[in-house]
Amino acid sequence: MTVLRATDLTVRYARDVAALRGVDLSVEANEVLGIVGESGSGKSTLALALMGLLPEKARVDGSVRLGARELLGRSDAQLSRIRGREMSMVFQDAMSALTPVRTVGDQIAEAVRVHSRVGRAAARARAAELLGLVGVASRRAGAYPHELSGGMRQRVLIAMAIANEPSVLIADEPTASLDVTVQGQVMDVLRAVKEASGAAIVLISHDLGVVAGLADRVMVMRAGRMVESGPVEQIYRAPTAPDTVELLRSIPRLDEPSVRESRDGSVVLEVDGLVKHYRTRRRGGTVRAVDGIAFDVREGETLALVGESGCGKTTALMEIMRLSRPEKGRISVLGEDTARLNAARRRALRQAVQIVFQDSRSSLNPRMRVADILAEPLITHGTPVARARERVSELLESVGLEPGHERRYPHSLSGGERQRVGIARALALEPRLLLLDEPIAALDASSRADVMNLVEERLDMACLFVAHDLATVHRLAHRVAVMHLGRIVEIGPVDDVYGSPAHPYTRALLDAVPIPDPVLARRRDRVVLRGEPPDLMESPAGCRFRSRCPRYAMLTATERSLCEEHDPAMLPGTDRMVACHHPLVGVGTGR
Amino acid sequence: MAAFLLRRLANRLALGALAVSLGYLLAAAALDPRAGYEGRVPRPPDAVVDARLTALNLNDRTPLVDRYGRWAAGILHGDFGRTSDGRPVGGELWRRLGVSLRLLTVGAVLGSVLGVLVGAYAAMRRGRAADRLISSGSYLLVAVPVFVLAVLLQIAAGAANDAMGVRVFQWVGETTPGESGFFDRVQHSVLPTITIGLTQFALYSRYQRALMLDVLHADFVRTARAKGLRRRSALLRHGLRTAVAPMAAYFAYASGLLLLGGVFTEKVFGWHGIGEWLVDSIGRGDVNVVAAIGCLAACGVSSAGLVSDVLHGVLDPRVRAAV
Repeated sequence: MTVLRATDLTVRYARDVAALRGVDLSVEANEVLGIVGESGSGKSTLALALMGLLPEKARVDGSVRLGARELLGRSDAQLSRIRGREMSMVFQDAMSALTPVRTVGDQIAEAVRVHSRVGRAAARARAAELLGLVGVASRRAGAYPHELSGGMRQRVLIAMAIANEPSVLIADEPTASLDVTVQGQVMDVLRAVKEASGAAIVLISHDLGVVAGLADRVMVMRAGRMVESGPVEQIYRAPTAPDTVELLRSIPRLDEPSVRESRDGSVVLEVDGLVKHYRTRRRGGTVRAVDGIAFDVREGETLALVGESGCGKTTALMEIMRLSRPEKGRISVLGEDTARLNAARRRALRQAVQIVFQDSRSSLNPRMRVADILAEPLITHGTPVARARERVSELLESVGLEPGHERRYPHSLSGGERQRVGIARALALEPRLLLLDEPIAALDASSRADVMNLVEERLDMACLFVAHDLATVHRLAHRVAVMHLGRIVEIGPVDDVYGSPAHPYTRALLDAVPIPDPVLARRRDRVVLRGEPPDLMESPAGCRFRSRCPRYAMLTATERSLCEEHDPAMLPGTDRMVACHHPLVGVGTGR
Repeated sequence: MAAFLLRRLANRLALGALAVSLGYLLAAAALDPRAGYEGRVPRPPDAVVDARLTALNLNDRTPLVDRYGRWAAGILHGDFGRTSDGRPVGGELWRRLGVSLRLLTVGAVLGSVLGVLVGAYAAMRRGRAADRLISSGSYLLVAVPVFVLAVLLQIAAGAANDAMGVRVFQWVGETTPGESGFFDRVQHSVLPTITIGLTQFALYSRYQRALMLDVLHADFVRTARAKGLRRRSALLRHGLRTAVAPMAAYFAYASGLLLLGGVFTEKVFGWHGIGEWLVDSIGRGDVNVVAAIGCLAACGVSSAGLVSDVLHGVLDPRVRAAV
């Protein structure tokens, strides 16, 4: 039975600017429709048009029918009785989607009270029950949004949306901006909701991998139009539209072998026992952002540093970038100990160490033209202006930008183009060591692939690549180091680590990577991490991963005592190392 | 929160003490009470003037440090010294504070509450006729000086009185001499209250409109509408609730300053409040009165700041977490 049907839906903001052109869709009860497309393809506009929540200046034509009723043209008052009761929505970016000054329990209870005549106490009880349903401890009902983690906030939004058991649930990028591990948990909640309620679900995402595991049918959008639609297997196995093929191609896949052959050059960066603690005023605690890590990067080699947000990977990068004495431990770049540098040597070394930042929008000066952004590091380090101009053109070409981009400002470039400028800026000084801080995290799937290809072509120096998921770095890195709570828990060559992860955390991260294949995605036996990364401020005795460790849960009491009492140490000296008392596979010597 | 408030309190006490001292030193250094005595006819002998000034701790021939010491010792015992004609400053200060509060409180509260509501309403109707009307009205009010507004109101009230044939509006002083009924007081306070209220209203509605525009398209307002709230209730319960928090902080600070800013209204309507006293005392070179009012203002602003911290903390939990 079709619950929601849109016919020839068109949305215009100005006379000629159509955000949505003649889109048709229908969803049945107990069915999940996945809508996939790049940002700007009209997915969110479509969702808001279905809900009747577009800005007032938008003109909507066509038809949206919920059951037998036409929704277009109804007044705000009439739609209010439908929204949240029969049709509800889960928004992306839960931080801004929740009212910052009211408790989450209060906000969920409000969703109940808007539509039914129940008392405050009953609504509060229902809110607690809903929180339990989506896997948030009901005592957190009194918390404000900023006191919850990103994953919990997203669960709160889901709880709010299912409060009145709607027959249609629209989820707009419910897992964007979440860690892969948490992403998996949130998708599981949606799956449970579907099974329990039999609601029709519209799942919107830019990521085909996310949709593959849950959707029954998929619709691919581009520039406000539907380009392809069909059963999920068909879309993934035999896509017909070029846009679909492009989207599928741009997803990094773990099941393809890594293409980079290993290098064996001289050591460019050596980090040993690096520690960075922040003292916080609140509760007088210490945040152990980086708590003793060691690794090296060789000439021509790319080392990936991977972990969930808050694990200390960016802090480690910034400590290296500072080129000064670390709090504890040793950093040496090109054989020079950064603690012993004088100002002149440090300046010379700055030229050799460059960084590409995550957010190209905020890391490029909005008041400078592209040419000036690229020329600045050159001129700062003494290149004559005329030579710098020539070099700017070379750089633009080398990152695949047109000469015409020179005169543009960052805001007039697309995200992918901006990140190219960021890479060109970093390459301008021909660094010996390049640091990449999640260079593609903020990009669309297709620009991701382009930028990754660019990075891949240009990576002939030593590189330290920071990323929050394993899929991204699979193709690029020679070696990978997995970080958890300020420590490296496993390090080794990419094929070894991905092929047979030794640390339970590495295994869980790998399992959390969405597979863009509906059959494999549903069949695989995943190890899902429970809970969220624990507080960096607590440092429990023994293994820090214990509370989330799926392996720990299966150990005998005697085996557990080792995890509880001793902090697992990394054995030095071998190519592949793991910090675990009970690794999944034996690595190195003596294990 | 308690520790945070204590820290803030200590901060403000130190800041208040500094402000009070600087206020006294500035007044004592700049004002010339001697001129008032020497200008009298017949001119009193120098020795008499000196003795009188010394008795009142106003003598500019005593070193500033000594005068400050004597004054500060008095303040610590709650003694504000004496005016240049020898009456205690303290009693008069409290009496006039009462007058000022009676003059300002109702207008300030009404004006700011209405300003917040109307400003929010204007933002919700952005670009429409209602918004344009409110915006141009409040711009006009901001642009018109208080005393012009007061006089215009008096003219209008006079016309209204004539038209009705009864004196409904009164605008000279706080009460009619010889009468002390509550109704009489109300009659006298209508016009000054409207004056204060309108100026406050104009400022607050402008601020609130700008704050409200920021949350008009906020994601959380959209979430509230997706729950089934109508646009108006989503904007009031979620948008305004968020956008009013910075306003509460502003309210506390602004009311501390309002006390002194009421001088024009006091003058025009003949209320003998703090502001009027300050201006007159500066003219007379009455150091102790000016210093006492400075002291009052410092305490007022400090405690208003403290109140604003509390209010902001109560209204916005994120502030609590950040401390």
